[in-house]
Amino acid sequence: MFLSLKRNKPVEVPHNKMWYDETISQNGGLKNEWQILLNELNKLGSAEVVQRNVELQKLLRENGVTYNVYEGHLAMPRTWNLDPVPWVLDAPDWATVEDGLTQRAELFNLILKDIYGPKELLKKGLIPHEVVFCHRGFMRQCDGIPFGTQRPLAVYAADIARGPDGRMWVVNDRTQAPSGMGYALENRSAMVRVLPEIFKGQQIRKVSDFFNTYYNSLCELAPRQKENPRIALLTPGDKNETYFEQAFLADYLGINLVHGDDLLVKDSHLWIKTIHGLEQIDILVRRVDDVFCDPLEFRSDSRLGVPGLLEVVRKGNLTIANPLGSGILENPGLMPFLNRISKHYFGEELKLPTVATWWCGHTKERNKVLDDFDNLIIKKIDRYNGSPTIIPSLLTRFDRERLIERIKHEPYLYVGQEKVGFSAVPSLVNNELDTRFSVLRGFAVGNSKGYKVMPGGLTRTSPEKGIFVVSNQAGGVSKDTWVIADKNDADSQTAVLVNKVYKPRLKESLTSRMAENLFWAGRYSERVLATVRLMKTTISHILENQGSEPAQVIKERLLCALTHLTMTYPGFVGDEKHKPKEPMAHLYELAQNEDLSGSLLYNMRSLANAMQSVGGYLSNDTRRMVENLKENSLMIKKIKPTGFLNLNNSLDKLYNSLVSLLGFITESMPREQGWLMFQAGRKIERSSLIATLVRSTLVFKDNEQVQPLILESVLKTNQLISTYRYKYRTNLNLEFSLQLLLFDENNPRSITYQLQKLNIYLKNLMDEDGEQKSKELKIIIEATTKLVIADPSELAQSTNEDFVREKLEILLSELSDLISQCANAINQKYFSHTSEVKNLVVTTNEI
Amino acid sequence: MIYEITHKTIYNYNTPVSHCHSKIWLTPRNLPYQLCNEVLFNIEPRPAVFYELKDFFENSVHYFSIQQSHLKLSVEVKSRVEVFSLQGRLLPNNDMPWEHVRNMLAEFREELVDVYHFKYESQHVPLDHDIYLYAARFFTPNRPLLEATRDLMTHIFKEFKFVSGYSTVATPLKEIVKNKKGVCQDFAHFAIACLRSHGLAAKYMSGYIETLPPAGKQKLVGADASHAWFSVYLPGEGWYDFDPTNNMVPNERHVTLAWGRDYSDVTPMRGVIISGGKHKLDVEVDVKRIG
Repeated sequence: MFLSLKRNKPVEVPHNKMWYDETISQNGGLKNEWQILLNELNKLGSAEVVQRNVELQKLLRENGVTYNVYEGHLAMPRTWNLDPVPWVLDAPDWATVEDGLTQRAELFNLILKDIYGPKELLKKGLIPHEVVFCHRGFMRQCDGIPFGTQRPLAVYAADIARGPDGRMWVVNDRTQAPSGMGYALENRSAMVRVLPEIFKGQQIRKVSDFFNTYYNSLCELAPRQKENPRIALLTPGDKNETYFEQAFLADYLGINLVHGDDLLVKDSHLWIKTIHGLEQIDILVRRVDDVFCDPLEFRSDSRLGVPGLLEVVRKGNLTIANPLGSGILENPGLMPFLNRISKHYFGEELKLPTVATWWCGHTKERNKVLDDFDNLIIKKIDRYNGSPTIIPSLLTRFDRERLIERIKHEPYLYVGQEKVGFSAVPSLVNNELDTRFSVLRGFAVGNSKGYKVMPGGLTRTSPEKGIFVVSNQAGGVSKDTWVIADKNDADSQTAVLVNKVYKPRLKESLTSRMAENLFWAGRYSERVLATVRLMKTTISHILENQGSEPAQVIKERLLCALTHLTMTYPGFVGDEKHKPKEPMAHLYELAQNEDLSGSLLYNMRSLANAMQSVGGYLSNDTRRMVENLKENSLMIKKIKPTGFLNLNNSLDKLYNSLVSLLGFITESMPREQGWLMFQAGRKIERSSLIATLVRSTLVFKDNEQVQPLILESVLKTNQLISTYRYKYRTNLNLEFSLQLLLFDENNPRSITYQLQKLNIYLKNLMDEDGEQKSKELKIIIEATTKLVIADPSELAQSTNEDFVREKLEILLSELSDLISQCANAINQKYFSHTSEVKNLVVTTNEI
Repeated sequence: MIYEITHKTIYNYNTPVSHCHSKIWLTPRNLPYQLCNEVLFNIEPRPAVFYELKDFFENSVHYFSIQQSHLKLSVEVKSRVEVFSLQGRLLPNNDMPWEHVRNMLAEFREELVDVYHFKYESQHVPLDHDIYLYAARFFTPNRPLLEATRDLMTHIFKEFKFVSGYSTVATPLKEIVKNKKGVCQDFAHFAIACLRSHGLAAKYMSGYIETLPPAGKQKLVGADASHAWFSVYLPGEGWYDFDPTNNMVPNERHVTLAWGRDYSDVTPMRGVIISGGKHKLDVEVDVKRIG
């Protein structure tokens, strides 16, 4: 059981052990810092800790903390796993890590500057030239471009493990676009929120100050020491495995999260495309690998970068952190030589040793690797083809032979590395304390004064006992990392809450892409709401009225309206032969078929995608509601297609969760451009949907039995029955219903009301001088005028023998047309980034 | 010889292009045996940004960007180049065996730091065993490097068929080797692969060759094209050029533009456009002797 960890293990000689136990001190007793932590955990009691763990996972899920795991080619968001038991390191242990990381970051920074500059290390033979020239991270295009700063390597990360002898080792270096910093911060803030008690027994160092340093260090990178530089974080997009973290960091630091599509190179500067034109970027934090950053210079098939980006850097108008080309340092081929480079630069050895590595480019080392093949792990010096660590002992005979062949063929591309033992840390597994192997990712940021190390980091543990594989892709679990404060450390975790950096954001325009997503989020929400409401009306009609002829007519009419509204033609509109035989099956199809454009689930998914893309714009609570909504749409997908009741209930839940999401947005979204875009999308869509619904139900001439029933269905669908009764105090008639649905400027469900609001939103979006000639406003005026001059009683009449009301039909068709023109005008004006990036074809030499 | 070279590249688009970024490797290098004293650029529409830079291998590159909407892009580069007598390009009397060169390149020497780039696999030059085997018959024990390389060149000339338009930049070398067909850059890439698979250093040369009209006919303007050949490194002496397409050591009729590890380092023109449509490319090259 839980309390069993309060154990006293028999004294063991450390070097006899297979691995190091983090909790046991040299004399064999429990280490003090672990003793205190376990006491605090025991004070809570095992049942409570288990309960808090449930809350912890719930909080992470609700905050949308995810890590995308690839299943086939699909990126599936997986909720971030956090173990409630942290990894605790005492001050002396931490001092080793901190000194070691600082020294190593300085070292890599110098190596970076040398490789793209004088190349002394190559000329002196301190680094074999193959390790640089044959590594695909060596970007010849970047050679000789001044970095413009003393420490171009702005962020450095290393994976550190503790071997059986108790020493810490570096097993990996991350120098391009290290991930994990944001997860470390999120882990801490979740822990502080859910398990505040266990922080009490000792002084634990805060991690949030580190992010202030990070932000200030980034600002220092501004070309020509520009004040208040504009910083953006370049993301590969929401399919990337660590997208959550990128959005989280951008939000936390108060910088723009941008996609390649958001950016443009013009006049040798980098610009962000906003709804009001171009705005200049000074510093770009990249989470895109360098080969993908500029299709003109590097991989021409990349669509994640910005054409001409390197040109801006060459001209000294932009600093990229970390600089393009820094991938050369993620290079196991450098590892065997680091110690002598350290001696060369600093006159001292590495403070944190590197795991023993042999570069196969040298004959002696290659022979050693091949002789000891099955006891080592093999790595390629670069991982540009995603070639990960290879464990020879796990290969088939055939693959093993092939690998040896490849090593003999191009030996300089390979290293052999010692297998490192990781240390064991207590972890909560299946509600009991057990041990798992752990690796720590530490982070350092550089500025003019030096490197500063985050007091903590991201700890990851192996998914199963006794396995030395720690990776998020493989399903590992993370831990908060506690560093115990020394007397001299001023930054202990005293306040319970983690403070945000909160830079006052300058007034910045919305990016075109963000605006488009918000606009579509608005449109899709209305689509979902309208579809659900009409489906519910239809279902309740079918359930309540069986058999009678008018009931049959109305049923047909509603089903056709559903097809028109969702644009899932032919659906119920097609000829008799192809019409769905079973309305129920088709309704399920309309609800559940994700691949059917216009289905409920399809629109839900589009809505969720749009919402997710504007993540940074939404409040935390709202994001939580988006997660909730996603869960409810999954529920729709899962219901068994039997009977209407199931569907009806699920529709209710979905409806309620969307309505409360919209409520949250209304409550919390700042009344700025984003809000105006979102609302404009809703109004456009709603006016168009009302027109479609009325057009597919009320333009037909019906007899006295059908007419009132169809009016009732339409009003019910628009939730206007009681409004009608209150206002007109009479039986349902067409003229009054049209009055309510089309003309009533006080009814939030009339077309006139939508157009009036739309007019206001669009005016507010515009620059002051743009109002006169604006196309979309002219279209709205035209539509409004058509409504003003139309006469409801005339529309309700039928002048000829046809069975449609011609005037009504014409008005609605004109309105639909104008509304869609208006949407196009908005599209052209604000989202003009739809053009693609293409490569010019090149010629071959022909003589 | 003095040449006036006109290299015109025209792109026609079916929808307007709002932005274009481009890099061109179209300025002849200055070399002991070649002097380029005039280059004129005529780019339509007018670029907003245009400047020269040197690439990693010290070739002259021009970057430009066009920021106005256009349906046609025309890039015309006119250069005036003087190619001197053969001095410095003729093969020396040097019988250093190829293994000796290989062994020297296998060790680290500071003075060779700029040579090592040309020893390894590159984007268009994979090093596979079949290519090694093909070349092994020329690189027999103790054979002088230059002799073996000349033999390799002659065999490529005899065994491979020049088929205009046969390959594109995307055609893998394997296919060229299999079908024994290609254009000049394929032959250059293949020769480079043969040399590198034997541990030697070879580079890709991009340039022009003056073509002579059939006897009694007028030379057609614009009918020339870019050309490519290769160069091998001989320690103590330097780089020596071979043209496998014409089975000759390049002479005054070869004009050198740029060199790199392979075609991708010195593509005459590469560019990225921002546009929704399709495009069509025309290239005209004219190498005119004026003295």
